[in-house]
Amino acid sequence: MRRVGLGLALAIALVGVVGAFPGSASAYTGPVLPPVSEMSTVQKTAVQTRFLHWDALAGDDLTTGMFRGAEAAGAEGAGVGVLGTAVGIPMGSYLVYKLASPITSPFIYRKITGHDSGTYSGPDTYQWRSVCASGCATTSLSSGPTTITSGFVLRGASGGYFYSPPFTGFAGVMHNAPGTEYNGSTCSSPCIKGRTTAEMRRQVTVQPAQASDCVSCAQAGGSQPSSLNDTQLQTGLDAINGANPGARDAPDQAAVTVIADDLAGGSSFVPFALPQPEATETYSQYVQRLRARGWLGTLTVESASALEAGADPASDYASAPVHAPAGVLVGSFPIVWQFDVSAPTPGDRPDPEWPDNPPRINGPNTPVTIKEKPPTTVFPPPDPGGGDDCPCDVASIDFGPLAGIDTGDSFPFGVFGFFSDVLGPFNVSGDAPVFDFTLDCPALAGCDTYEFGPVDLDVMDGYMTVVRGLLTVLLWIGAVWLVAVKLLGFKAGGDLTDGVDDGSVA
Amino acid sequence: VLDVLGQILCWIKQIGAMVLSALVDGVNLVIAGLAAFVQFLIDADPISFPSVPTWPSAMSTAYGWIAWVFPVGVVIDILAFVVVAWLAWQLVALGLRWAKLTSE
Repeated sequence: MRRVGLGLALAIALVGVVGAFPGSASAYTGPVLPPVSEMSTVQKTAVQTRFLHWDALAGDDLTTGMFRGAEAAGAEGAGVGVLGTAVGIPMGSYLVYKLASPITSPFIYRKITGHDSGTYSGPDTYQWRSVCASGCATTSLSSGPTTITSGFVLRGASGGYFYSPPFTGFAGVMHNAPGTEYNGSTCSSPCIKGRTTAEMRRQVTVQPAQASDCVSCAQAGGSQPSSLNDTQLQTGLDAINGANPGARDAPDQAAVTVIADDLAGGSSFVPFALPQPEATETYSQYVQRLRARGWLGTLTVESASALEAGADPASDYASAPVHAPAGVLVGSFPIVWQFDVSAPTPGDRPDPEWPDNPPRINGPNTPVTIKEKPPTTVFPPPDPGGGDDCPCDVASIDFGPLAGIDTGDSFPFGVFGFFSDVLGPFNVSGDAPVFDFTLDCPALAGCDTYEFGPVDLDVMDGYMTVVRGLLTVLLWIGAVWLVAVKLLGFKAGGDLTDGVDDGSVA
Repeated sequence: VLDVLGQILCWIKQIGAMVLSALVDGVNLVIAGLAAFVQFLIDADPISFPSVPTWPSAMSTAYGWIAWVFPVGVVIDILAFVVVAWLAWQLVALGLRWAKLTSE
């Protein structure tokens, strides 16, 4: 009888425990966020700030949850809904694919095709590139990662690659940092190191897709809105189950906890990476953006005297508005210049325009110094032609519309574009062959199969560079001769045999 | 008085500049209209070039190996150069023949 009683008690206890978590969906019981309609303006602004600047947060759960809300709220902008068919780009010895848009969820991992080469040296722009097609588990690269089974690559502004081998989520995404480490072990340049989910996601939004990159893009790019309305905020909060703790998972809970803390007036400052000033922004507008993110520190404004003294009249600095932030100094970090006085055209924007890892404002009181384009600027210089007192500007003839005619792929107007597409795949940079092979051993010898390789001919790169250079010179000489003699009919030299000594002259 | 006369002179100059600007704007409109018409004709063209198939990745690898041995890109550049040079020469030759004909 006592056994029956004990069993009954255990059963009741078990039912009670299970009943406490209906559907066993979540163990979270709070906090519960109020509806947006009941929030004050300050509270709405706090939620909006979180959704617009979720990338400043740290921690995978928190960034995942906050991004979930931000995306639902539309804070990530109107990206391309469909990852359109990619455009092939010769990259190293492989054909890779530039995706239409990586902005919308689930980001880019719908597309796994193509290859990437560690020897790529193309333009320094942010471009998502797929790494490997299915069934390429043995892809071997001459530098960088030795084996990539799947994933994506983002070409970094400072060289190297962002990639994920294999792609299982942004936690595994890597990025380059020359001189540091790759996958926990030392490697030669370019090297790469871990990149956080938030960093990677923010990189994703750096490069909106261009219309020319897409074949079936629904929209030519995406941009982040500057504000969110009440409906958007509520949608975002609903996406993270702000009022329904029982339905939350860990990312939801992490995001809701931070927002609840904000609404309660708790610690509002979250360290964030210094944002890049906009092209037409004055320093006061820029500072407003910093203040909106909780920064309360001391601002020092100084004149960008070096640029005033050394910038070129045709530079980006010259055309920047007065009071534009030309450089930003955060704490003890090196100053980040918006305009580079040592650029080929002094005063142009640096390359890259903004560092991959900009300084972070780690505290609400971190001091910031801004080098501004002063009101006494000498840029842009006055037009010497018209005279300031009586400007007589005359519009210039604009041939832009004619130059902008798009022949597309129509026949026959698009013949040049067509042949460019046809020949493009052939016009790739050389890559040393890498291969392996097996030899069957005669059975009488008592062995089975010998496997050799991988054989990497990149040890001959130096020689082949010289050989290709010589071939290039010879080919061009031949081409010039061909054009001159066969096409243009230049034959001024006469018959060369006329100069042969036939012995008739003593 | 000189300032007033100077201002009058400036107005006259600016009126001239405005008239000239209006003429240039008119030319720009003609150019824009011409470009739009040409674009319309091109867009109305029902015939398109066939889409270029995507090479298998193995072929892309092979091209890279070939380019490592032989500068294929240079050959393509040269091909483009020869075609452009030949077309340019045909145009020049046409003009020269016309000039020769008219001088005789």
